[in-house]
Amino acid sequence: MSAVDQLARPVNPFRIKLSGGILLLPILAFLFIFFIYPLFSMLAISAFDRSGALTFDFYRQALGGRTWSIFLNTLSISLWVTLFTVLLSYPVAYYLATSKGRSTNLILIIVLLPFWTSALVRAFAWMLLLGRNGVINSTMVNLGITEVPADLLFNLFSVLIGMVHALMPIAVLSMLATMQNIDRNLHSAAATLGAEPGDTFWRVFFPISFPGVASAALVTFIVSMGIFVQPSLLGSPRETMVAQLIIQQIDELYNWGLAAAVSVMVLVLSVIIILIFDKLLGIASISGTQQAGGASGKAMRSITAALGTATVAVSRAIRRALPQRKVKEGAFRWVLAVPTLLIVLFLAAPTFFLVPVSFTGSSFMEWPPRGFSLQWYEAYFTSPVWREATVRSIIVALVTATASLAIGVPAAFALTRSKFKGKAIVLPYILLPIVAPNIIVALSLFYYFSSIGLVGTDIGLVIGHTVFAVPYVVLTMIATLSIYDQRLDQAAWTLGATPLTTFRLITLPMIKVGFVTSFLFAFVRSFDEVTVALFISPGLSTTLPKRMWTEAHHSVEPTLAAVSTILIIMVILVITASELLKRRGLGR
Amino acid sequence: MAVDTLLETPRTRAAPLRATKLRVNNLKKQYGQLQALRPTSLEVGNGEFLTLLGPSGSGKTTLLMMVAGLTAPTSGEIWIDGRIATDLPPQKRDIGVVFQNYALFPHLSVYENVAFPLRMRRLDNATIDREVKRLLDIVELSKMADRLPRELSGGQQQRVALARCAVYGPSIILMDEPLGALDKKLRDQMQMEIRHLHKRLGATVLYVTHDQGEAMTMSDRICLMRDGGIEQLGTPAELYHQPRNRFVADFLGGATFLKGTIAGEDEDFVIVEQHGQAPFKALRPVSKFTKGEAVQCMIRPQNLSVSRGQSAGLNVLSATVTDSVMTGTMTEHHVRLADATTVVAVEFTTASSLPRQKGESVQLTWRPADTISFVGSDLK
Repeated sequence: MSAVDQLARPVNPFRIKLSGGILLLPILAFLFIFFIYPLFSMLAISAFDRSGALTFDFYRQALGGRTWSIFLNTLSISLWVTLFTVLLSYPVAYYLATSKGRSTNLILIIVLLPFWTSALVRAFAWMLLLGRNGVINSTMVNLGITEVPADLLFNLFSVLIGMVHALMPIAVLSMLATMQNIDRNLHSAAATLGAEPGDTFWRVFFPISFPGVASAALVTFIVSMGIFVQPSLLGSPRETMVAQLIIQQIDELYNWGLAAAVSVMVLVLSVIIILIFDKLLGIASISGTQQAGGASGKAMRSITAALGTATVAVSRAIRRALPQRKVKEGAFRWVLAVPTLLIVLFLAAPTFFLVPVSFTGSSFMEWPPRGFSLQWYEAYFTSPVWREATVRSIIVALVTATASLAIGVPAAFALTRSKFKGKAIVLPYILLPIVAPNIIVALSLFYYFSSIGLVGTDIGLVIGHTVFAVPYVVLTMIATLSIYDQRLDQAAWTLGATPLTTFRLITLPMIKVGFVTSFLFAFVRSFDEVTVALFISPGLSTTLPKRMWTEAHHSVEPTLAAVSTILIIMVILVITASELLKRRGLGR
Repeated sequence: MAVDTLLETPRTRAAPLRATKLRVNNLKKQYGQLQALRPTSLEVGNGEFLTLLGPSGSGKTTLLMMVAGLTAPTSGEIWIDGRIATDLPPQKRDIGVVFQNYALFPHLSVYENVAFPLRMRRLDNATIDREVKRLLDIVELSKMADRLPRELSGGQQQRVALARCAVYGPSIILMDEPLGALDKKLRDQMQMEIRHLHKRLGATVLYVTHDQGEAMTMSDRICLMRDGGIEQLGTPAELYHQPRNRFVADFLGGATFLKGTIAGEDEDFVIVEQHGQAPFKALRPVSKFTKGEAVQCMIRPQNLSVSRGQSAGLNVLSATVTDSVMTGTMTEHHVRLADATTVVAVEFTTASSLPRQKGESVQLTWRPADTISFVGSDLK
């Protein structure tokens, strides 16, 4: 089809009247009122004192002494986290992108498991694994490797492990998005042109996958700057990060000015990094559509060429050293599969150690669990505090998911189906809440809500969670709708169906998988959310994650393991359900 | 542009007169700077099979989609059965559309796909059942009624699409490259089936394709398009024998073009001179011309013959055989002229006809009346 034939994309006569604007209005207004406006009004207080006069005091405070060193500390931790996350995620993404069959799907599910599991549950798992009476220390002492337990927890090491573990699923997914678009025939083509596997990887696959690596690094870095759960639960005061500092300033000192000033610094840094990224690779490479060009492209080509030559030389040397044995075709895949499996194990295994501990007879989170008892489940189910928190979380998550769908689905329709001016900036605007550090968004909502009396209310929670959930709904629905063939709708119109009937009988049945997935996504986002809840649901009217967070700071009782186990089972059920749905949707 | 009346000669059979079913009046579509369809007018008779033929980007799909009501025109009018239909939604136009990829509903069975338009018309179940079964019988898919579209082959899916379109008896059927995804053999078979269905239903068909053979086989009239406008509209024979310009001549089947200048006139003919070769006669160009003007003359390969002798009244050029191939029914002679132009002459294979030897000197002969000439803007 030519450009003209494609441009002749048919128009629903009803849609002409309901073009983009009306469908997008709710989401644009919602995000402006509850995201953009609060953000800027909170940022403004960093530059004004109580009397309203312009002041640089807060910035002077922020740039000196402890605050500044925490800021630098955050930068360095985030850089390390980014480095390890990208290094560990690449082989997994590569394996997923280049393999086919059942095992691939299973690995993808395992990678997604921690993605859906609460960040708190995962942090608890690492506390259990690395603690003095934890899994690793007990095992080593029992095996006689060491006599005294090593200090594995509450240091930089444990913070890095926890954060890398938390961020890897997102990194894998964003790399996978790029890698899956790489034509598999390129491998064969390179082979017929005389390239050995090492050469093919470094000179063909890696350069094409690089934009995916870069965007994974970008997302990892920005998100890790706003993280507080892991450094707070797994680190010592020396690993304090800015998000903790901000919480401290608000919770303990009520110093809004300094918190806002630090937020501005984090935001400015994020924007600078995004701008550098854009300069080097073009922001389009986030979607994996653009290649590195110019000087940086040339530099990268020579680096990858050198790596290719080196890899080929090494593999030749190995082959020469083993002349009697033929190196099998699959050898290269095994070299890849083993580390991939280890990394996947690292992702999936830790949380499951919480399950046996939840049945312990002892009153500490320790390994191995002692005896068998259901007391911690009993404690959970009989405690009105836990029960209320759970019910509130479920209700808030249900309402959040419904609200996100209500404003997100029309927006996705407008973005995939109609053309209008300014479309190019609408999607980035809607996705901003994903990129902006959570802590800052939560803080600004707190500031805004305290002025309009929404703090401590469930509606406030729903609004806050919807800000974070709706971008995921829009993304999922766009993915669903962009593969939906609109000619089916047109066929229905020409066959006599009205637009409404067409939507009911044709469109809806075909996109319902996307609907359900979006709903689950939004539900889980809200159900797990702790940042907004931290500020907006104080006191007794708390959510489940907030309750877990508070509990973890008071006493690490096995109740947490019991709650975690329930959450893990729930996640597994959700994933299984969505996989079954997907398969039914594909008609297998 | 309407049919050029100058081209109406007794040799071609004009399309039978019919009542106008569909009238397109100065219809235009603009996408920003791009004019997808220049103001275009067209009439389609009741029961006629009219094909919109043209290369990609010629505006044929745009025109079809506007008739269907799936694309809004920038300006102009669409009339169906003498009533204005420009702003009617597609479901009120009494049309049926067969889409390029069939657009079968993947979640509905073959039966339900065909039943869909009847359900939309709120017919009772007994009628629906009878009609669906009747149509599935016609397209020979009764046994597949409970299958899902993806469980059918391409040709079967195509037949379901036809059945779904025909079951409610729309008076205009629009088809957008419906055979594009099928292989050659299936395509030939489906061409006959569609013709058959057209006769049986008596519906008016507007058919889009870029395949000239398909257009010639199936159409009552062909509307050849280029760059968002109509180049020529007429019966297949008119377009083939009296192309308005070089583009039409070239698009409709094999053609040889000889370049030269007009040296003189002789009643219905002009004398064409070529550098270093004997002059020959060609029919007068339709457009105005002057002596000494550059001209291109088109001859169909089957009108050219290769011989040793000469015959009175024929054009003759000396040539050298470069290749001679017997393809079955036809034998192709590839020859080279003095100015290095290569020409293909095609003749029936007979027991007496022998392939020519490579390098053999021959005379290329043809009738002046088979020589169409183009000048000026018709050369583009």
